[in-house]
Amino acid sequence: MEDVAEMLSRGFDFSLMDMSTRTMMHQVYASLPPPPTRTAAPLASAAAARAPEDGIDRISRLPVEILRDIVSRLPAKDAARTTALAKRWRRVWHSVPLVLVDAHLLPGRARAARPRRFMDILTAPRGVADAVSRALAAHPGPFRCVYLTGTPMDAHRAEATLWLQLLAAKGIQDLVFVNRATKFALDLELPATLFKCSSLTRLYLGCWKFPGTAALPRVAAFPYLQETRPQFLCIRVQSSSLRCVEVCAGMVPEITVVHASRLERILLWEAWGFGPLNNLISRIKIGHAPKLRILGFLVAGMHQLEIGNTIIKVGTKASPSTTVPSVKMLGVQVKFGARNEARMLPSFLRCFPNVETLYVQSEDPEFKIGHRGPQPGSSGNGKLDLKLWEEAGPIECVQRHIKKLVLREFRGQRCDLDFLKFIAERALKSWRRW
Amino acid sequence: MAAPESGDGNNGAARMVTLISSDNTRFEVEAAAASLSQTLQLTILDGGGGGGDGIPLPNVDSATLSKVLEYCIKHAPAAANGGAPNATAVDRAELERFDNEFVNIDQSVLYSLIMAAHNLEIEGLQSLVAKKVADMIKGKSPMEIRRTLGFPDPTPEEQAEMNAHMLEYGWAYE
Repeated sequence: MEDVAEMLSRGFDFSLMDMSTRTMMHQVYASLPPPPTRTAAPLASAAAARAPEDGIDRISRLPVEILRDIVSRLPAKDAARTTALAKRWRRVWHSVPLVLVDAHLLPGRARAARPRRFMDILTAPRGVADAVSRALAAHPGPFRCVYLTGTPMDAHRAEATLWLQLLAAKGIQDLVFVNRATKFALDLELPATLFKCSSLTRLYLGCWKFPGTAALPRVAAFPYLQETRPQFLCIRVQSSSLRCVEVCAGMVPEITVVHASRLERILLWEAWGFGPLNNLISRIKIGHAPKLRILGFLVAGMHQLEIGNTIIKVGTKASPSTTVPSVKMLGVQVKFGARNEARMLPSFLRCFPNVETLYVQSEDPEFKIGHRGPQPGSSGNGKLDLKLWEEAGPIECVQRHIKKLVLREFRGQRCDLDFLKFIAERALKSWRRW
Repeated sequence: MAAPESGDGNNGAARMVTLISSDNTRFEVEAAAASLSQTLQLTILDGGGGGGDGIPLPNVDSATLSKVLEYCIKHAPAAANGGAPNATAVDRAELERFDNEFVNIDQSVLYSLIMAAHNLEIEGLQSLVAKKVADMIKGKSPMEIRRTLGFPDPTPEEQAEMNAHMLEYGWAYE
């Protein structure tokens, strides 16, 4: 991916941030989805592609759909400049669905050699916000893809609301909406106007606090949404089009899947819960999700799994109301050395009777931040008696369906090996048949 | 997932087809390579282009066609793998290197190539040449783009329009 993250991690305001905010913004920017247009021009090589000296403007004679194809590959600034080329080009950009990556609007990118004046640096964030406003106003829509990532939204609330109104009116499909947080407190509420963007198919949010449901418009719906990647918020999914929910390095106290008939994937990576640092809690409630195939990583001890109306606890028995039979791939993160966490693993596995691929990420029991530290019953030296696994009893997916087990960061401690032994003894019979 | 040997129904030696350029030059090429063109694929599936017949291409001259076929031959193996899910990074890097070199050409050739890729509907080539022109445009002012792409000198009206544009679209020039 082109380094949009690097473009955004500069500027005067960035250097003024405190260490933890800067680290957080670095991570948020580094995990942005790669934008569809790039400023890099690896094929440019102007010397070899010199125009013939005959003064015939060959390119403008090309069919307009080819001109559109060319313009659709340009960053917004370059694309807008083509409207000044000649008559034939005047409306080409306007007839191509807009792709706007705000990082590409940062001043001085057009002529890289131009020395930056001190004032440029001081006014950089304001400059981007202004440029975004003018670009969004200049294009009639539809908006295929817009990245709004370089603006501290608390200082630009009016603009942010205006942008969302334009996005809603001009049919935004793909939106990356990140608040350039200047302090670590994530208390800026997502403008409710966002929920008017009913044409969204993909939504990526970063550094926002979700507004209380009372503040939301009555009919807040994204009927076409297929993929969402929020950060720092509670998620409630009730959608007949959503297919993927992904949380990466986000603080998500709760994910509730109410009714999601097409949801296939819930991807969680460093999805932190809420609460004191040594006891973060995040609720994952799964209601109606008949097509859910991939789920993980569930973190034992932090993620509180709820299926239907049942909270899954140690020893919860498998029954139709406590299982999600459609899940084929499951990821679990666990500290085998911490007895209370390790004991959750059989319970998790019982909820997904048809899992074929199991990812297990073994965590260092001494590592405290993120989820529960060493538990009562943790011996601290990686020991865990095999009895825990014997008590677990039969588990449908282990005995019948698991075909592939991927172990990550195994340290080969006794508790790790006990788990392996448990899986091997039970799954071996079905593996022999393979 | 197609089985590795499923192929296109021919056995043994690869099937060849003949393409005839606008200036009557005949090119014999593997059907798999020519089939990268959506337009040709239909004719070839119908059994055309074999034996002494040949498929006439009245819009493509021999210089352009040989260039087009150079691209198709290079890309045919990867395309046969259905987007090559098992292609190694080395293979992909090699194709990318080839592509970069391939469009390092005179603009008159480039534009003939753009039209040929468009008419023959060769998706990969269409996107490669469009990317090439886009890269030639990136980071330049309208005047620089005009010069790079070989536009004639602007008329006074065009010059005035360019100046007005700069004021109206200030954000695109910062």
